[in-house]
This record gives sequence, structure tokens and C-alpha cells, in this order.
Amino acid sequence: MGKVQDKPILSLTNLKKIYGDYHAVNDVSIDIHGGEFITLLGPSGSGKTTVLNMIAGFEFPSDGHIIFQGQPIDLLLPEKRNIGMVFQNYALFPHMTIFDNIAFPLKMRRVNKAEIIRLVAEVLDLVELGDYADRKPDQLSGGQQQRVALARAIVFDPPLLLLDEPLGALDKKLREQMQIELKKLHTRLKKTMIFVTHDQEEALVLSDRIVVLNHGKIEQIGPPNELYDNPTNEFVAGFIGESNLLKGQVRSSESDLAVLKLDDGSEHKLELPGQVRSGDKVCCCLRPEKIILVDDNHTDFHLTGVLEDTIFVGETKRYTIRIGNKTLLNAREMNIRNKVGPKPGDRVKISWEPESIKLIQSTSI
Amino acid sequence: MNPSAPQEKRILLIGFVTLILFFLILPTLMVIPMSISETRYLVLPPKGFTLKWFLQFFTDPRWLGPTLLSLRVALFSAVLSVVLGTLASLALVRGRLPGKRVIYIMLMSPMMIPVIVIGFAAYGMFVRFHLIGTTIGIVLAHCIICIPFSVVVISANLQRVDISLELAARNLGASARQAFFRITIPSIKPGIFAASLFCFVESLDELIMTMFIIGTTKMTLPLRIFTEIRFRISPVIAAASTVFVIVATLAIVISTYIDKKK
Repeated sequence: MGKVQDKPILSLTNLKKIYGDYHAVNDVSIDIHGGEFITLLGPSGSGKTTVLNMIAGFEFPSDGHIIFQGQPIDLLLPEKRNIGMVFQNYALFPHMTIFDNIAFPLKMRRVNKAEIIRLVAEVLDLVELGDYADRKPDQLSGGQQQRVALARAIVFDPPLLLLDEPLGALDKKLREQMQIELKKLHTRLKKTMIFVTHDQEEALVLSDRIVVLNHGKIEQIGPPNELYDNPTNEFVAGFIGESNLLKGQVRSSESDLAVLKLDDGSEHKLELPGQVRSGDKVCCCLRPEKIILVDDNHTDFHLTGVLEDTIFVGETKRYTIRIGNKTLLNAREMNIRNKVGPKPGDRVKISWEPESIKLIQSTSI
Repeated sequence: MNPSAPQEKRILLIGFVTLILFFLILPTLMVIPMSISETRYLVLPPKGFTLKWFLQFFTDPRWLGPTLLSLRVALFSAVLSVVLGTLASLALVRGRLPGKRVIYIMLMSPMMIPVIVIGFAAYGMFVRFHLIGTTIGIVLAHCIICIPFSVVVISANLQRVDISLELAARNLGASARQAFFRITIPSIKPGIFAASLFCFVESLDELIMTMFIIGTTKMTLPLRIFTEIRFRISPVIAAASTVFVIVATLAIVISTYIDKKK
């Protein structure tokens, strides 16, 4: 860790939020450094919004601490925190013009009038809505409202910006466009941003680091490529990207070849990473695009199976391959050569680079 | 409209609806021709044309006094009911309190219990506090009737206001009080306006509660009309009623217009 980053701008330590006997947030600890773009990723009910609400001050933690810029803020009122926030539905004040919406945080801070006019104009320029100052929110499109919400959250120059699924209400094309704009804005403002989403693709595109949450607990923290390539458990493997899981028990293991008995009863001889011993129950994760279908005359392959189905998706072909009795693997192949692939019912041989297969923690072993 | 419905059925339906509308509105409209008759008693159809009954209504202290008292009471009742109704709605919609449902039903109960019962009960209470015959007594009695309306209208409005607006205001640096006055109140303005109008009209024509509370020295407009109709069948009653109808119609027109603008 670099010297500049030694002190995190925001630390969550053993944060808990308990409603009755329901643990919405259970022992969450994260250190966030200045300028980082952190994403809290998880399905609904994972506690990601509750964590954000506690940082914003809308909810108080049942236990644990929130340290912001060196000060504990666990019980500080939201208006005293000086943290910007973009809400899921934008939460623009419908009875105020765009100018008044953006001026609101400045008025609350008793900034003088000339300064307000200057700052609002500056931030409206930044989000390219200079001509819309006199409109009411309902006269703007969804994407424009989104940008106004962003402008209002940064106009008072908060050191930390919270974003609660801000792109959720936009259609796919606009969402992708806004992702790029958000990323640009982050590079330009160098602000620390905490982004909440349930969309793993969005998280991968935007984040410096992703915090994967499930049932109020952190499953894994890491940069996007690390989470994708090295998921530590079944939840992360399934939630981020697509993955094939091979679950079973090691029958025997000699040198680098092991015999794996899958849960469907079939036995396969293959290379497993790390140290496995006979009798171990294991769960292997294999991403679909890492599976290579090899020609029949090839001798260097890992498994054989029967092709069940082929789906043509344009740039890729998707194969469903049955190995053993009923274990299905998904494989993906770029549509580069216009070769005639195998047909359903054909026997196929599949292979992968040795480091592509990962041992992960399974929830059901 | 279902285009495949047979023509006769449609005509029947239109006729039926027209009949109901007439049934609802015609008796009310009858007071207008009666108020311009030159005769010294109420007749229909009117004989001749005069506005002297209106003149008498607006000048005779026997009519003017009760009218002014009714307006004053209606104004106070509306303001008090709306302020209390807004506070109650906030607690019911935004608050985290146990037994919300029970509190709501208790607030609504004056709508369901016969007014005569409430009037009788209030009389017993008000006597102890020496409120019988006082303006404040009448206002309080009317509030019992008005508050449920006010709560229904305002809480329905508040329910549609996204709570994240208030959270956003707090996040941007507004105290709870500032968020309430700058964000919440402007957002429920239509509801507050509608409730004010409703409570004002409700108080203006309240009779049963008034009769219990008013004592012997005061007189409201509805009570004046009621006593007049028993002892003198003067066309001033029709004139007063006509003024009533016009005021109420205006109120409805204004509120629909404002509603449409929203």
C-alpha cells in the first residue's frame, strides 16, 4: 500500500444493522481510500443499500463504527456529514427549477448569492445542461434528470459521493452511455465514490474495487479482474459472470492427475489445481469462455462429453455439453472461423488452460 | 364505450345516468328560482322577479350576524383541522409508531359514528369546560367533524410523496425542520389546499353539532335557515341558500382547476 493511501478516507468496522432478529448488515468491514471507485454489489436483500444508508446517516448502525476522514460519524445527523448522494429515483425536488435544485445544498450552507450563481453554472456546464436551469425536473428526460441529480450531489464539493443504483431506471443504451460519463467524471473530479448496484456488468465496468455482499455479509472484496478470475466461493463465481461448477469428491490423487467423482456419480480423470487429497470434497469453477472444444484427433484434452445444444448468438456460439450422467457445462466460442462445428448428439472433447480451473468454497459441501 | 353494445342499451344507460344526475342536483337548483320570487313566502314557480331577498340577506343583522359567525367559525375550523390533520398524517405516514392502524381508525371514527351521538357526547364534555355558547366551542366541535376529512386527504397526498425527497434534503444539508418546510409542505400543497376547502365547507353547513354546542345567544347561518323555515317561510331562506350554492360551486370549480394544473 502506498504512503499517500495509508489513511483511508472512510472505514467501516464490524458494521451491523439488526431489525428484530433479522441481520440486514452483518459484520461488514471495509477501508476505502481517497479517490477510489468502490462498488457494493449484491442481490436485493444483500444489505448493500442499508450500508449506504448508514454512511449517509439515514440509518444508525446497531453495532460497529463508521470513521469518515478520521472522525467517527456513527450517530451524526445526515445534514452534518457533508457527503454527496445520488438517489435511485434521483429525488429531484419537483416544485423547484433545476437551478434551485442544484442551489439547494449551497443555500443550506449559506453560500452568498453571486457564488451560488457561479457554482451552479459551473456544475451545469460540467453535466452539459447549461440551457436547462429554468426548467422543472418533470420537463427533463430520465438521462437529464440523472445528470441534474449528479450535479446537485457534487456542487458543494463533498469529499465522498454515494450513488444508489443511479442508472437502474435508464434503458440499456442510455445506461451504457452514462456509465462512460460517470467513469470520466470520476477520473476528472478524483472524488471517492461508493456505488451500489445489483448489476454485475456495471460493477465490472466502473469499479476500482468491488465488494460483493450477500445476506448482509461480505463474500469477497477485490478489483474486477480478480473477482472474475479468482472467485473464492460459489456465490461470487455465480454472481459475477457465468460459471460452470464441477462438484464432487476426489477418489484418488497421484502426481498431478486426480480422479474426481462428480455428484451425478460419474468419474473423471483430470488435473486439479492446488493440493487435493483422496476423499476431499471439492468444487471447481470453470468459466464458459475458457473451455476449448478440441478436434477429435487431438490427444491433449481434459474431458469428453456429448453436445446437447448449440445456440448461435452472432459473435459467439454457445454450447451445452453433457459430461458424465447429467452434469451440463456451458462453453462459449468466438465465431471467428466459419467452420462447421459439432452437431447436437456428437461426442466432443474439451480442454482448457491449466490455470483456468479454480477450486472454490462451495456453499453446499 | 363498448362499440358492440346494442344501441338501445346505450340509450337506456344514458337515460339512467341523466336521471340520477338530475335527482342529485335538481332539488339544489330549485332554491334559485324560489329566491327571486316577489311573493312573501316560498313558491314554485316564482312569481315576478326581485333581488330584494338577497338585499335583505346581506343587510339584515338577523342574517348578516349568523353569516359572519359561520364564516369566522369555518375559517378557524379549517385552519385548525388542516394543521392538526397535517401533523397526524405525518405521524401516520412517516412515523415509526406502534398501533398506527388503531390510531388511524380512532381518527376516522367521527366519520362513522352518527353526528347526533358525537354532538350529544361533546355537549356533556363541553359543559364541564364552559365551552357551550362560545365561538371556540363551536370551532372545536366542528374540528371533530373536519379532522377525519383533513387526515384522509392529506395522508393520501403524503403517501404519494417520495420519502427520498426528504432524505435528499437532509443529505444536502437541511435540518429536519428545514426539510419539512421547504420540501414536504410544498409537496403536499394540493392536499392541504383541498383539505382546507373541504373543512371550510363542512364547517360552514354543519348543523347538528352546532345545535348542541351553540347555547342560546349565538346563531350560525345553517341554524338561522333551519329556524326560519320552521317559523317564517320567507324567500330570504332561498336567497341565503342560493348564496350557499354559489359559494360551494365556486369552491369546487377552483379546486378542480387547481387540481388540473398540478
